[in-house]
Amino acid sequence: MKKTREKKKGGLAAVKRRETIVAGMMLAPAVCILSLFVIAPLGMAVYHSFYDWNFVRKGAFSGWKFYKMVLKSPLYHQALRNVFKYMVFVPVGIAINFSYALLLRSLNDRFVKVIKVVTYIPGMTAGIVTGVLFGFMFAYNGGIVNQVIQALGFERVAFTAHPGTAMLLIQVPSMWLGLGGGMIMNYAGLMGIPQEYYEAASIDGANAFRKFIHITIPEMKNIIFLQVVSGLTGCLMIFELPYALTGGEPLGSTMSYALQLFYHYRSTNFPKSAVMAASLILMVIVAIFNAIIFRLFSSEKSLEG
Amino acid sequence: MKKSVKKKIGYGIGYVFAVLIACICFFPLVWMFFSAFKEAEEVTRVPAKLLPEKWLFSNFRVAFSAGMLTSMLATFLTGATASLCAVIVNSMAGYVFARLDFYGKKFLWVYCLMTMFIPGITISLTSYIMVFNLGMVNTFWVLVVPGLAGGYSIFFWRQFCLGMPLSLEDAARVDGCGRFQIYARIFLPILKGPLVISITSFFFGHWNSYMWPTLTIPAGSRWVQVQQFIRGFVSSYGGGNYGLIMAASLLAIIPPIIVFSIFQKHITRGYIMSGLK
Repeated sequence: MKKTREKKKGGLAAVKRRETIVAGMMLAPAVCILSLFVIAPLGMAVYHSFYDWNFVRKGAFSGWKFYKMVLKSPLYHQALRNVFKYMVFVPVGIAINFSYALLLRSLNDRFVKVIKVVTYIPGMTAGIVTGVLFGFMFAYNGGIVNQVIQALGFERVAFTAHPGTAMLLIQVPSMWLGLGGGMIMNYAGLMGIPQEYYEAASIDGANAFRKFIHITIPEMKNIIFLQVVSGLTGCLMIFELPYALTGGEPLGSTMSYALQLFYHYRSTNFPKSAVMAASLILMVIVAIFNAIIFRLFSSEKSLEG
Repeated sequence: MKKSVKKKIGYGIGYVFAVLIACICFFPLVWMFFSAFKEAEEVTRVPAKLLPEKWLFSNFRVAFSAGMLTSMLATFLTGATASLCAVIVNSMAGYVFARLDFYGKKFLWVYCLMTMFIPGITISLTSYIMVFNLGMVNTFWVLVVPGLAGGYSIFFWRQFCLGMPLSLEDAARVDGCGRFQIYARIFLPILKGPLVISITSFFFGHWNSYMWPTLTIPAGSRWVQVQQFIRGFVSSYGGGNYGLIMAASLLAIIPPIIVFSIFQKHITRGYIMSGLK
């Protein structure tokens, strides 16, 4: 029926119909893969979170029971609390990346290119390898960091033994991984600020501090914001570093949400339906953050015209 | 005169500082490199020395005999295949969304974009059930196919295609080129920069991924991926011998660094673009 209607319209509709076939063929791989391996699994997760289910056997409809179970579970409470602890370090990382980019921008030399590459390379290290490497460097027995601490006249620190130092043990490599990319992003942003702004401000008699507050910060606002949001989302998803370095210990103080989920994927002492519910709760939180990022992208697009 | 001297001093201090940070940042990799050649006892000896007393290659030999090379080859093979296929799948979709007018466009666009907001960890268990039911567990395909398409990639490609002038394809259309031909013969060759960026970044992501391989590839399989291998190697061979572990880790970071240095220019530029877009 649809076909005949289009035929009557002729011209444009015929073209559009032809395009639909081509589009369908060209989109098929992407749409099929997304449907099979993203959308369908999501549907399954939602479905299973409402039923009593353990891989093989599907039980009775359970409503919000498993969601309530997760929200009441001390394990997930702790994981969520820990996410906030992880988040505390996000501004520190951004401040480091930003000031390093500022420093490199002010040098503005050919050699800076080499420095940029040298700082970028470590950021490509995989999470697991990074965890192993920093575990080695921060080891209690013979770790290089503890040797430096001792050389400075302090007591050795067993980093994995105390909640505070264990968190530090994860944050240091996390910042190390983020430095290269963050620096390059900030550097690019700084390069994008028109030099005339600064010149005009100098003529008006503004000092370096005022130029920084009134030109650099407002111009960099979006990039900084982008880093804040993606940094915070990253805290919800951080997995490999705590997994490889502390395994969530001591006393669950470094247990991230993603790591808790991963452990529950494989264990049998937490109902699988509740694990599904917990992973969907994670998605909702992340979606809120991502929506903000996307808003930022699209608002910038519209500014460009 | 005086001012320029002061400026020069400030510049010098800034330089020293910048180089110092770069050195600190690079040091862990240097430490990994030299530790890989040290003996079990020497690697955690107090006081530590940077250079190994005697350059030892046995750490690498142990890593290789435990299956390091096999896992590197497996990861390279799956990673290269996946990145090449991914770039085709996503760029094709991006092109279609940028240029074609068809029924159901809006729905499909939202459908594809929506996937961007679904974290991998949320669906990894049910994705596992899916690939299990499809009989893909412990095969080459489970590492390649499920991650090929991505909302963000499609979005990225659509943006690039939108940025191309329309006049480009008008001439080709007059000559009777079909849509697919325009995409394959005109768009892909011109978009070489984004092509390199997405292939390499997909490859890095694949090389560094851990969770999906551990869920779908059992230990001892011929498809065990590098990160999975490292993790297993640490628990079975590690036993405090960090020399061994560092040797395996060093091998694991070399391929991405090689790929990076080949495409360095494109990649840093791409980082900038994706950051500002």
